[in-house]
Amino acid sequence: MLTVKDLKIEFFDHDLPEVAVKDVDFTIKDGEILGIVGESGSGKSMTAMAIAGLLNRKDLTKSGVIDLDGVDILNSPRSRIREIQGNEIGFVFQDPLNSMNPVLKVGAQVEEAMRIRKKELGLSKEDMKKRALEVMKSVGLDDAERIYESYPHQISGGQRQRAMIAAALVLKPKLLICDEPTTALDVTVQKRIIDVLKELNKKTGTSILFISHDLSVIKALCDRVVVMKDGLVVEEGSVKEIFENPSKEYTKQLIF
Amino acid sequence: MKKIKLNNQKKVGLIIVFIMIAFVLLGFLNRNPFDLMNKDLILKGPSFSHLFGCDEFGRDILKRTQTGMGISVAISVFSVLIGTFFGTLIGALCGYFGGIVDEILSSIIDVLFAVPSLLLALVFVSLFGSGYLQVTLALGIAIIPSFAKMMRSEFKKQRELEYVKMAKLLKIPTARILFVHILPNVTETFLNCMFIAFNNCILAEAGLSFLGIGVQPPLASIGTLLSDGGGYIRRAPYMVFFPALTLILLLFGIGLLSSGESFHHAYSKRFKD
Amino acid sequence: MSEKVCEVKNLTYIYPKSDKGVKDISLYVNKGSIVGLLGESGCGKSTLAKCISGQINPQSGEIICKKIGYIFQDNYASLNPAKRVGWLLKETIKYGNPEKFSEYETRIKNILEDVELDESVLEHYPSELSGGQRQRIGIAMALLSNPDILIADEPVSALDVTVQKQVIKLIKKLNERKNLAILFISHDIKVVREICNYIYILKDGELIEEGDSEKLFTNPSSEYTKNLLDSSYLE
Repeated sequence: MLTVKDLKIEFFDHDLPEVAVKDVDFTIKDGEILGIVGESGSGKSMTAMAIAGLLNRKDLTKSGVIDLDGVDILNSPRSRIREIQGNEIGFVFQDPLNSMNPVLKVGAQVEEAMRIRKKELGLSKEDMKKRALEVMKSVGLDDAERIYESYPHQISGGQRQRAMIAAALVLKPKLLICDEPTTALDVTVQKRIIDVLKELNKKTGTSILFISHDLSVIKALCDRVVVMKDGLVVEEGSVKEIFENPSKEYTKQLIF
Repeated sequence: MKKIKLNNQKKVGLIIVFIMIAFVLLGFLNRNPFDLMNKDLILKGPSFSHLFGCDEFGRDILKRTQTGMGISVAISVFSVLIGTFFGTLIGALCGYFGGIVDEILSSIIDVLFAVPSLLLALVFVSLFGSGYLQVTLALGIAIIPSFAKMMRSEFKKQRELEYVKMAKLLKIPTARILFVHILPNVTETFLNCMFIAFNNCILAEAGLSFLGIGVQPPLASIGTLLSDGGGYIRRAPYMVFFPALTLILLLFGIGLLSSGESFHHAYSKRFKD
Repeated sequence: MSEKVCEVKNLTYIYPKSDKGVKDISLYVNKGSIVGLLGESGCGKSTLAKCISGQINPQSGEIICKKIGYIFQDNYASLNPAKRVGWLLKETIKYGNPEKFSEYETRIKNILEDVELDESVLEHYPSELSGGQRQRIGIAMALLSNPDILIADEPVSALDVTVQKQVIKLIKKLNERKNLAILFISHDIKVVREICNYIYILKDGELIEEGDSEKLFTNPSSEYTKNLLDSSYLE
């Protein structure tokens, strides 16, 4: 469903252009979980943001092809991209505290994507609340009613991250992009989030692009993995292959 | 290593400020005395020998503007220095220690803050008489509260950072932590505050002199020049125009200097993945 | 029985206006050993570190410690961004070890060798260095005051995996060479398992388990530890 080809991203914030991402190729099939693993500066987040159409900064250039079910993300007009965001792509950021608005209730933020498209979708307030609660329950927020009425600081980090996943999922996107969603969380909470994502993938067939610096998390969740370093793809393959016999020295180093 | 990177606004600001300084310094080459009255030159318009024209007593306005500007700048510089020194000291102590020290000093600052600075200066001048010394002191005191507030919040932020905790663990004397370790990290706010305070000072001094309680004649400052010229604005508009123009240019230049972002590029964290 | 360099007895510190903090903690660190303190966020491990290093005063309990060196987690914030590395090291000697100040140049040279850094870093500002280099400087600064015990509060958590490995190797090397005791605080089981001889596990301000590293990982006694091991996807 998603094809990335020859993706190249360059920065111009200094005198010389700086390549952040180069020659990145990979595909995600329907219902697949793909992991991108790399250290800081490897370009993994840049790639994810480019796929989500979030790279609109003027000081960088993008070239190559990002094709999501026939839509050319890099060259489509802004209005088309905005339609895709939320509808077809959901995005979960690393830090659940900073990616939530502290003065809005959690429920309102989960509904946000629906509210923007209220007219096209013909949803009433009750419909939206019903859908929000449904999604929140599906990501393992058992007392969804209470959390719906809470502010972000009143719930725990794990609950916040699940609420963010719920917010990304309300419009049933085909692809969920998770940028280090568990890095800021404790291991026990991390495991629950991973379980939620796994279950979600199994139940609804949503494809997931999971970005992490932690190979063991990728191993627990993903079907295939792309290893990135300094903006380049180092290695690609099924999780089993990569773990059982990594062909590159760098990958070996990453496996703790 | 430490590159001071100026953005375009700052560059333009710097150029304007240099021009204004040169303008004041060139006054020393101008051989027309600033207080020499000349019956023949009363309200004579700009000419080659008197570029800015002459005032109601036949004095050269160019020379008077140069002198006046110099005095205005000098008053402002000294009051900013006074304000900066005490403001930083109070702000640093409040922000770094917090607690009871902060409570006491902050409430004093708040009281000072509640009184408009011009009013404060007026009270000061009426108590101690008018003159440039009094004006300098009055303006200096008027600056302290806002400076202290800014510095307080900056020091409060820095206090929580780990390098300060590290310095504390090493038992480095508090004064050294405050002014050698922390202060260089707040230069940005510090400089911007100074520029803004300087601009306010120039304006306030002009205001006070305009009201006749600042610099006393025959000495001139921008304020007295504007006030003198105001009376002849129909017959001799150049009397107001030139001093006002220099004032605006100076304010503009300094304002540009305090605009934009970082002075120290080296400190800013790079955006990377 | 080897010599104890640090001992904490029945230490309690509760934050004002809350019930969070650490309760009744007793632990000790032997000379030359690396002791791990493992726990999730909010369990009080940093509070404990602050108590031991004297940044905050506990309400009750006893701390007997020799000279402490402290390594902070955030290698960016722990180095003054406005000063060059050379200045920072010099300042540390000046106040951490004043009697040796006259020979500071050789001290700096030796310490840089110890943490495997080139002398060129002295001319740089911390922001110009990589995370690993900065953390090495942090370690160097902690070592400059000749400590008997090093308290490392999440020293590698902010670093990349490959850099983590190098820094851990360095800490291990320093431990072996100088027979330096280390109290290693972390939330990361993998790191702790890699480096520590003896481990305490902290939860909600209380010690719930302790034991030799090997034993603890192969045969955990408490439910919480089992859960923790299970969640970390260890091979």
